[in-house]
Amino acid sequence: MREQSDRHQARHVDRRDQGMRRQRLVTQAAAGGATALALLFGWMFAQPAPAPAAEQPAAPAKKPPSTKKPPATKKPAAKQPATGTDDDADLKAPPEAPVEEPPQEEEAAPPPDTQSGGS
Amino acid sequence: MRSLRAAPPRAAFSALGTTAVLLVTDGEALAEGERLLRAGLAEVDAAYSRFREDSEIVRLGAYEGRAAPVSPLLAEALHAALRAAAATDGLVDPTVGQAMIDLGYDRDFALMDADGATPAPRPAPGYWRVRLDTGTRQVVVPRGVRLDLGSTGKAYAADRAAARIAALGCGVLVSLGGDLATAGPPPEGGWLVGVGDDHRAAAPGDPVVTIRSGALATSSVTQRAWRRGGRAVHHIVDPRTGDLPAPVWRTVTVAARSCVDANAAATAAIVRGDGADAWLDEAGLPARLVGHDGRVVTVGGWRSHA
Repeated sequence: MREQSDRHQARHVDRRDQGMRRQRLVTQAAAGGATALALLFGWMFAQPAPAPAAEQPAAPAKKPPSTKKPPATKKPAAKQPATGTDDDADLKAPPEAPVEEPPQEEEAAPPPDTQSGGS
Repeated sequence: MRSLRAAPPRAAFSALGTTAVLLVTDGEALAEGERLLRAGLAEVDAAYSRFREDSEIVRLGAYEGRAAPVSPLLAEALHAALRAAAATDGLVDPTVGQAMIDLGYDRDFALMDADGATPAPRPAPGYWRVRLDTGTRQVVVPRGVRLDLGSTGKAYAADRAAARIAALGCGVLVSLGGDLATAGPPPEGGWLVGVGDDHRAAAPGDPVVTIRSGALATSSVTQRAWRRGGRAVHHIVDPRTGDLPAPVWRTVTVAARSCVDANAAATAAIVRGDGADAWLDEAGLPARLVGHDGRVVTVGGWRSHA
């Protein structure tokens, strides 16, 4: 039984295995280095800007700009949308109503000035 | 009183496919008034004749839904038409152009064919789809929408001409196909106007009214009528159907402050049919309505002797 398992295990490390192990080490080292560099740069850029050299009077605590209030939503128009006719869309009555002339005998009555009718 | 009255100086000529009549209270202003009227109507024809390929309103079609610049005259006429449409709840709508063409009214009335086929009527696209900016004088007419200012266009031309001629310092009455506008002081006794189905000639029994200011317009289905698709049709279209309105009123005459308002109300009454008399009365517009059965109804303070 033991002889059988020993037969399946590597008994020596040949040059090929050594090369592969070395390559794995190099890859792991490179990955570790890259991670370390990334952390270093991240830390550097995360540092706050240096304070101004000159001393300035303390400014009053600035109120954070309030979010601009959006304009109120307009109530939807009850009528059709504007088409350039927003002004006064009512038909206007005349200052004076027409007055029908009393019927006259045709010979006595002169013709009217003009005629209103279909055209 | 009427028999002692001198008739005011008068000029009459053909224009816009109908008759133009000018009356003035001062004979010396007649020649200049006629010149102004002819010039004004030529401008109107060039701006919004539906039957001229080179008119501004026809050329709007080339913009295919994009904003188009318009002349001051067309902007004002469009504004008047859109306002009339809003005031009549869309019963007088300038977007009925295609419906008029479908009914066969696609050229000057004198040149129309005797008969022909008609496609199924379609409702007008709706005046609210036309966007007019009077400030920048730009209009957006949706692609495929054809405008027809026939109803209010003549009335606007009458208002405009009367105001211009009155600036000569006299009283004026301008009538375009029976839609008339006055401006300035009236003659002694007022302007005498016959009222009937036809603006060209009075029929026996037609009443005569006196007006001193404002305007008077008549819409009638008895004029500008033709045959199409084997039936009698006319020039007043119901924008809601694109077809002829129900035959309730034959002729409606309305008095209003301006000719545009009078014309819009008269045309809207024909289109509205039943209930038009109550609608005019509620609006306070003096009116005389004649039904297809000959009955006469006067409302809104129209003083009748019938």
